[in-house]
Amino acid sequence: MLELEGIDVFYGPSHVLHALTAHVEEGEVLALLGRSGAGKTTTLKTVMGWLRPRAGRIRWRGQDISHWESVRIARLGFAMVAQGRRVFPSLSVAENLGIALNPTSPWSLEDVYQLFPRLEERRYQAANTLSGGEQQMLSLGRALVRGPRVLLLDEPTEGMAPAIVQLTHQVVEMLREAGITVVLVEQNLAFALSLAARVAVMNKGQVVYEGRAQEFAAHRELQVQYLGVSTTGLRVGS
Amino acid sequence: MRGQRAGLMAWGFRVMVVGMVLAAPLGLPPFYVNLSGQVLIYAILALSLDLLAGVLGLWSLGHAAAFGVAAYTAAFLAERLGVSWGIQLISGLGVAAALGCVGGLVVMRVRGLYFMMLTLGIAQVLWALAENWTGLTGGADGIPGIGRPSPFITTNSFYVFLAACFALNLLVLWAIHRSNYGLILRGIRDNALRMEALGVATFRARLGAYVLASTIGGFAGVLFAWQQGLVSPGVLSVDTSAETLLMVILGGAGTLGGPILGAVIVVLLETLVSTITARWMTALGVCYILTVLGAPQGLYPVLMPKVARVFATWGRWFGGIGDGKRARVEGDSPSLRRATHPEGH
Amino acid sequence: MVLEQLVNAVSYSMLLFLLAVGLSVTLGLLRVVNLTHGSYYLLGGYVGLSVVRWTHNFLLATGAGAATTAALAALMFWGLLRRFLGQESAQVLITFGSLFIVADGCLAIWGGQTYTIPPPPGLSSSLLLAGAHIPTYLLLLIAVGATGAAAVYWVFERTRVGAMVRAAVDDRELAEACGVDVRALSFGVFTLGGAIAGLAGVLGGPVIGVYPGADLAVLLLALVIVVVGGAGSMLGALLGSLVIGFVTTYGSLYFPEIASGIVYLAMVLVILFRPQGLVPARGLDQT
Repeated sequence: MLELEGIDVFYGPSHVLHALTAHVEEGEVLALLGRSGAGKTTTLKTVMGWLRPRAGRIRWRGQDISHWESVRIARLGFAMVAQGRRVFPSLSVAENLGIALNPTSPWSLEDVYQLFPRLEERRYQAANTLSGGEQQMLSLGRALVRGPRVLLLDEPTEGMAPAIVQLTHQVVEMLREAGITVVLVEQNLAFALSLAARVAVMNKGQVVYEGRAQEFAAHRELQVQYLGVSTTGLRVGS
Repeated sequence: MRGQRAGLMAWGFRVMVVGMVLAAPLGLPPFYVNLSGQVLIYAILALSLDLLAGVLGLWSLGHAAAFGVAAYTAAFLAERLGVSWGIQLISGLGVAAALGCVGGLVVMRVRGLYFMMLTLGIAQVLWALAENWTGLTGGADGIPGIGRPSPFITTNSFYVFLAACFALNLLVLWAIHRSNYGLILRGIRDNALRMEALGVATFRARLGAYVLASTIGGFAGVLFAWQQGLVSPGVLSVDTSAETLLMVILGGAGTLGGPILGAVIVVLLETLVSTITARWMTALGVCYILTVLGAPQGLYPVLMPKVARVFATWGRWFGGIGDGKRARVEGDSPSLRRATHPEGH
Repeated sequence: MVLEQLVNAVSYSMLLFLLAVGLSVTLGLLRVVNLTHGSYYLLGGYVGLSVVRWTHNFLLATGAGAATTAALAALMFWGLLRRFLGQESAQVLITFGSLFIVADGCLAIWGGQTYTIPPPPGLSSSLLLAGAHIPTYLLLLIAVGATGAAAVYWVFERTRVGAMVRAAVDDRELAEACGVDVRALSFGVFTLGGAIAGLAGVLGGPVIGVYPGADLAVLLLALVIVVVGGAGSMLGALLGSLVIGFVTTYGSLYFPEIASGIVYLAMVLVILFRPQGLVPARGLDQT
């Protein structure tokens, strides 16, 4: 289980996460929702070790990883698909995948190429010459070859064509089937609810609602209350 | 009424203490008076560089350029044309300011390492010119025979003159640090984008700082020419630039006391340690490293609170001068502070 | 005459490349300006000088020089710099302080005269090539430089480690999240860069000589090359070295009056028109 207890994170003098408490069961998909600026990305960055909490504890399977360096956290089995299709621009597709390759991963480079044939076509091209969609696939593929136990996904469908969204959906399902823990930050409510077992909604650096995804999906008032939108996509007012 | 009296008393205290410190060397033999004079000149130079490096956050590796061109201008005018010291001073300042203008337009387009290298490059080109254009600058031998301003010829009297110049300079810089302009510069250092969004003309502000820093550096250069009586290419060298930058970092960038402390330490260490041992460079090097380990923000921010605690009655004064990060409320523009630090710190 | 000057320029460029490549990658990877880099050259040169005097073995001297500076670089990184990554002013103080200490140490041990290291026997004469007398040592320099460039290129572009270094230069945070130990990588790069600089010190001994002040001269040259060529890439270091090597050689030939300043003039021009360097560096124009 991944546990966050009383996490306080600051950007300089800015208090961004306030005593954040949440948990994710192993093997489940948690959708982390909330309006822009609620602190969702900051939470993922803190779990990955890119930010250090000033107070509070992060635990994985009981082990305190609150102040671990991100290399160590990565080697523990955490992987991040960061916001904005983050890849290594000057490395080729093959190199992007190669340096992340973990020999114990159930997914090899070949498996990734099978999932994303467009990447195989472009395997020796520099990553910054790829389209946005291809970069997103590369980012996902890179996370797969790490063979993670916990995958952190930050808005994977943002700005993506429907075909890519579909592909991403398949990948997350595949991960879920393999028993991998996933924390999914998403603005696309329908996408998130169709994959998640549980939902946590953040506002102003805290978790303000937690519950089963089915519950949340079924009760439109909850969606409207916490997010200002419902799954019909209509803005109902803030 | 009472508050006003207390304020005036605090000021009186400050003037008295500064006066005492500055006057102290006068009782000593000429070697030490000269040395103190050197310290003051380098302190002025370091303070001017701090305006760029500490307040604005741009590390210049070519500050000797302003120092050197002003020194050479004064020397040239004095030795070749025999003009009065007033004209030497104004010309020196003018040339330094002009260099700051032209140079500033060029260097303000880059930041970080490239800024360091560009400023270094300009200084090195000038240095090469000074070394080789023998007709104008006397080449490697330089320009000798520069006289001092007329009533202040002797060691002691010139020192008094230097002390007065230093005090004036300190006042000017203190005013800049405390002013809105100083706040703007620090705001640009911390977050230039935000300052732009607030409507601040950042390019003009930065250029202004560069010109100011060059002019004050030039002031130090003219004083140097008068004190030494001889100007040689060393005034434009990378050694001078680097040494000045080190003084700023060692003492503590962004504060008023830091560069002064840095200048004191570096000049004294170099001069005095070299009389004891030939290994003064090692001593200086060890000093720098120990400072990083013990006081990464510079020695002044570390030492000053301790001194303030010891001299309890003077605590308010020491705490009030040049606390780079958190300037006292008097003299701050509250609206500007709120605008640049909305989180309320 | 033309061929002689060309060989001069190319061999000098190769020496400069060996000097600059370590600094360039360190800068791109660690974002730290290592002001001690020139000192590695100096120390390597002095150690090589002594070893040649004792053993008359030039090869051994190069190994000794490189090993000594590698040790110094490793010590500096692990003991001091490691804790101050990202803090510019601290790094300036540390590396400048070390520059002073090394320079003074060398002065104390070897004294203040200029020394030239005698080239290895068999390479101290010249060849007659197309009517020109070409010192064979310069040919060795060109060979070593070219081999070095090829080796660095191969490691950088064809090995996994090289890809990791390039990834870390691109996006350090992301590299760590992919399991790349950037700190260990930095340590390796820093030490290797120091070793190569020390090697350059020995190789440059017969040509430039070893003398107090060479550390600063070399440091400035290396910084200029890195700025002109662009930091963080081997190609940038190579291009920068060629530009500066040729400008210096032909510049001092045709404009001897401003020979010392011409390199900086070239640098100022490059920065003005192509602020990122010839092979664009990543993010170094932000403080």
